Amino acid sequence: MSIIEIQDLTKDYGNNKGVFDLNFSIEEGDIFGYLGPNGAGKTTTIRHLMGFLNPDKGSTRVLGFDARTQSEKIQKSVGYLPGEIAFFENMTGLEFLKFMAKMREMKDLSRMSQFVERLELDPKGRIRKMSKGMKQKVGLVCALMDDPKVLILDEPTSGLDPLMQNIFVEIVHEEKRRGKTILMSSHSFEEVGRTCNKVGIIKDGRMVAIEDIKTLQEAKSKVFHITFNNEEELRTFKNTYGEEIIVNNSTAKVKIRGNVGGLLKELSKCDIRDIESAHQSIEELFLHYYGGEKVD
Amino acid sequence: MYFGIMITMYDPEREDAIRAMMNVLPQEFTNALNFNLLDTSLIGFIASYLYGFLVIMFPMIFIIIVSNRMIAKHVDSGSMAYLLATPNDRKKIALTQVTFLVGSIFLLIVYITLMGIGLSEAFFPGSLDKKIFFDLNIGAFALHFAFGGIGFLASAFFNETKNSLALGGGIPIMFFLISTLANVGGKLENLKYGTILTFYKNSDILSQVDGIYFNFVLLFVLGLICYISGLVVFNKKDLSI
Repeated sequence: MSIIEIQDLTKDYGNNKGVFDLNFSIEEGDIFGYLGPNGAGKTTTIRHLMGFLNPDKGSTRVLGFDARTQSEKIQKSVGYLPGEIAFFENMTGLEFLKFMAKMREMKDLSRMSQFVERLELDPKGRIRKMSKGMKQKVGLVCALMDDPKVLILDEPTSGLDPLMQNIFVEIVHEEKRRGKTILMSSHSFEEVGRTCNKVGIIKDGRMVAIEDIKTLQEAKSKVFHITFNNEEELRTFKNTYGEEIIVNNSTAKVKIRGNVGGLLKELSKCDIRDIESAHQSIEELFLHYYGGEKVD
Repeated sequence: MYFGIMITMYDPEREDAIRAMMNVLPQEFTNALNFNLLDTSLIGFIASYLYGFLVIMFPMIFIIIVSNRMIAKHVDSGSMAYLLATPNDRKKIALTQVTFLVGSIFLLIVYITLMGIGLSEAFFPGSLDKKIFFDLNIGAFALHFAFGGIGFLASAFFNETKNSLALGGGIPIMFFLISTLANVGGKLENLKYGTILTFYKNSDILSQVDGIYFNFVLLFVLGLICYISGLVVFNKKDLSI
């Protein structure tokens, strides 16, 4: 049984807004990064998982239960962080956390205190007076404190300073080691690259790509600028080397994916003056997807 | 508190003084606000000056504000997401809110009932016609139960506070205004069919006409229909939170 199952999920808001025919699942232990431009449908998807929206078509299941009609059965095992900060007026951070602890029938509050301390949160302040980053921390503590099996986090590092972002990454790694399943939507490629083992990219309501991070990392291409000693060498190299190269005088620009060793073996037979490498980062990779072209 | 003060002001001897004071205001005005002195007994006094306007108006405002807070406010601000991120389904949450609303109304009525009896006995022992006083209060509860229902339905149906208040508050206020106009009398009298306040007239209760209990039941049923509809609507709708 998958932890999260989304089948043919469609919600049409008109004007091509919404989500259309989404199909994917998240298994136990997955850390799933859900990426997409603003308005792509990430939050809409998450709202379906939380039982807030009725699908036009299709279904969402969490832990085997239907997300809309059986949501109360799911909630005890889910920690949720909404994309938009929305607490109750007039409470202090601590009052809010204690209220939620009560609502979730939590007996042990030690995890709550641990996270409060770790995220350097001052819980006694009024939520209304807190900075965005502080409010975000309150939300994070709330999602984590009940030690849920599943974490659904909508833009979890929004508003956090780089130090806190690092701590967040640490926390994700820990939860991963403890066997938790996490779905997090994000705009930060770096963060997703550091934490997730699976990535889904959504654009205009449709899933554009679902890949293992490993696949994506291998798909990352490296570009080498090799300057040969003379054009002879270059031509020889070009004829023997199978992959695509672009030639410019005595410089060859070689784009390869993954197999650096093979290229180096070939080059060791040649007379080379200089070699320079330029990375295609995960960012550029993702931006290809965001931009609409697919990297193949 | 006003309630308490008004009761102690009752003085059968000073009837003329009170009449004189009221006569300063134009007759249409006192008619409209249902502020005319119906009779000079203690219960008449209470029915006239408290249960004609004040016991209708003040709790109504309280109910309008509170019923919006029950659901629409949380949906509007997004905090409903946190209420639902717990092992409680929507029915349970909505039911809890209804219980709070109705419970508050009930406690309010109980409070003024007890205070009314207490003060009457303290200052004018034995004078109060308790049966009529209970009727006035039971009716007041039925009326406010209905107002609460309207407010709750609006709160459950709408996603934004502004809409919830507009209808949940607008409809009771409209009923109130219509009854005010109807009270002025003359050609406007038929407006009384356009407002649920017709089911709660202090003069009818005072004179114990037939059918007052039936009217209370009607108000109660209206409230019940609204609460149940609100629960059903909230349970089914999309929440963009």
